[in-house]
Amino acid sequence: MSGVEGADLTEEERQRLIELRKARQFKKFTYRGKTVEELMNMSNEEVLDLVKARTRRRMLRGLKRRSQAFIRKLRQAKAECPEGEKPRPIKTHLRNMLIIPEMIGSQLGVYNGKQFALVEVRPEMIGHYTGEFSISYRPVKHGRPGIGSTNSSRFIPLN
Amino acid sequence: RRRRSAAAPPRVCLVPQVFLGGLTAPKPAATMAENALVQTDDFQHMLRVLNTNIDGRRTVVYALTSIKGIGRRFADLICKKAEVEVTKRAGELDDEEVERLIAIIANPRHFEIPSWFLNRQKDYKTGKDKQVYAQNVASSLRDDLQRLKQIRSHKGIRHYWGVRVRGQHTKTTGRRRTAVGMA
Repeated sequence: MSGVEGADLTEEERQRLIELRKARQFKKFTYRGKTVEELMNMSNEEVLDLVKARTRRRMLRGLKRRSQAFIRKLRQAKAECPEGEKPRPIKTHLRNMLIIPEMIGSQLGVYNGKQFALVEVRPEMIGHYTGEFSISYRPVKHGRPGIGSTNSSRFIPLN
Repeated sequence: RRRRSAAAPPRVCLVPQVFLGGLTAPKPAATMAENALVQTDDFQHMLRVLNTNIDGRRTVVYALTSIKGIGRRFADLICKKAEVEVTKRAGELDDEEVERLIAIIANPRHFEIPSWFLNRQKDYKTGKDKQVYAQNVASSLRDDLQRLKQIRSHKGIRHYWGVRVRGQHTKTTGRRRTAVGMA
């Protein structure tokens, strides 16, 4: 019943899966008192009141929208994808893009200098920047310290 | 002559009562209230308020700062709102006054404490302004960090690694690395 392969799902079974997934959302997410549905239906001006100062400032200054093309692509991808599936990832170099309610549910590929890190936008990510979710450095794993790393080891003769 | 006024002050025995060998009349209750140096019987050396122990010997304002989430400024303000005499010691508070203080701490906006005074404004989940206190401080901090970690934000990852979060240089500093709260 629940172990059905994706390719063999009939329309009816797919609908049931979707219903199940919706029913399974036990934790109601609220962003400062607003649910996800309310957020997605808000205009940008209303969202301004909810977010914190940095985000608000950025939205006010950037509402001339350098990233319009990106948002449009996101919308398109969402519209194209069938219900219950995730939209195809949209790649971007825009690490400084704010995550707004409109983007919830989309998949982004955020460039970290070398690769596009896959980020699925969740409602908890509102107000953060896309770059925050795509780490741009490899965390340091210290190896053996080399010559010259400490003051005492600097004059080891090179044989 | 202006020195000798018409109504001269009555002659008072200026020798402290203490020196008069114990044959003094017991002090009336009125002076006990004025004279904070004298203890009453129902002085509580340690109160238990909001799940915290409060030292009764300190002045009210400073005793309240032992509660997590309440600092000097906030304690001062709630005492004023509760109309508690600020010169009292904490042990001298009535139950009723303590109740009033607790009510204000739990519901500061009700008592006209401005929202910029509170330590958790525009709460992430509910959007309300409130004051977190006692155990709520630790649990709300934990919630915040949890949220950052769950969305895999960079800040959350740094917290998870136990490393400086706020962009500090870590090459040479922070060598005596202790447990992390906020970096």
